[in-house]
Amino acid sequence: MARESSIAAGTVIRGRIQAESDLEVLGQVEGSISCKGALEVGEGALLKSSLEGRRVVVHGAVAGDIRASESLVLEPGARVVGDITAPSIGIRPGAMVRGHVHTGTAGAAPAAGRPQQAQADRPAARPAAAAKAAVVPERAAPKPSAEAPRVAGKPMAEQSRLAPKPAVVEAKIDPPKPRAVAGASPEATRRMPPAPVVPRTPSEGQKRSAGAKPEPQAAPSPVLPSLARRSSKTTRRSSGR
Amino acid sequence: MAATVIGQGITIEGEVTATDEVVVAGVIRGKLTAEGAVTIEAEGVVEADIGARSVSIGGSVTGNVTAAERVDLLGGGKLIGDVKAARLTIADGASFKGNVDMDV
Repeated sequence: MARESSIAAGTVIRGRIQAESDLEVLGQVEGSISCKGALEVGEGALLKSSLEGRRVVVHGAVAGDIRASESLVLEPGARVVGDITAPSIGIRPGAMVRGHVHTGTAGAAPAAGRPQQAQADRPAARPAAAAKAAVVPERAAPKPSAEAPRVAGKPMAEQSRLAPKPAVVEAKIDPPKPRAVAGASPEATRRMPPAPVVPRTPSEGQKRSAGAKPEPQAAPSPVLPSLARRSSKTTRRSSGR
Repeated sequence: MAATVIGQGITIEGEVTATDEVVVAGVIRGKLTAEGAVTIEAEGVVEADIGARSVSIGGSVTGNVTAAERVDLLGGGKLIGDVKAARLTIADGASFKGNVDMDV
């Protein structure tokens, strides 16, 4: 049966798809698709998954990274939010991309090397933005959005002197923010716990030191309580910072 | 026409939900639900519970099969699991291990 594999329009798949042959997707897939043949994402398709294929053609919407070992073509009407990697990439007029675009002969090596280069290009801006995103993910939503463009604006203006890179860098600045705020709420929730943990531990330490106070106070020696107070003050100061 | 075809060489691990017909010549592990007919061809391997309007099994199925209308176990077909359907046919040469509930 040389029938072509097809995920029809009304079909929803949650999970992993591995294809040794060609695959056409017109429905919805949440998970990942790995295809050793040609992978065609049809019009009306909605994929929340990473795609891998030899030749990938996209007419529909993809939220996730796309990696093609041979070629990738984004046809008119395609909407892609995610990084795209292929030796040859075609983006037709009318296709939308939001993410890092990477063309190159080798598939894996440059993909790992390039982001480091991009970080090295603007070492000050990237970690700062990343730190802000990590420390203040959702509590003060307006603040990072107000500050981030300024931070983002500076390197873009600096790098606009360099001819080809800004488009790539500009595209790359955008995705992390929506991912941190709206796109990937699990990421945000993962980041949330560490932030509260840092202030909590000193406060718990204060409580412990406060709880430890009565014992030395009850003890006759006057030296120990003063030490305990000092230590509690220092912990308060450190927590304040 | 708008059938979902899981061809040979395709492996799906997860949940498949279709509003129409599904033809399986590849491998599905997880769960398969279709509002239309499900056809498992001779090469098809399904390790999943199947819920559909009708199910035709020519390949290998491990899992419970529930059909609103009918289940046909074709010659060469193999089914390990319980069947719940209004109608059930088991062809000569088919293998079947499981319970049958025909809603009597």
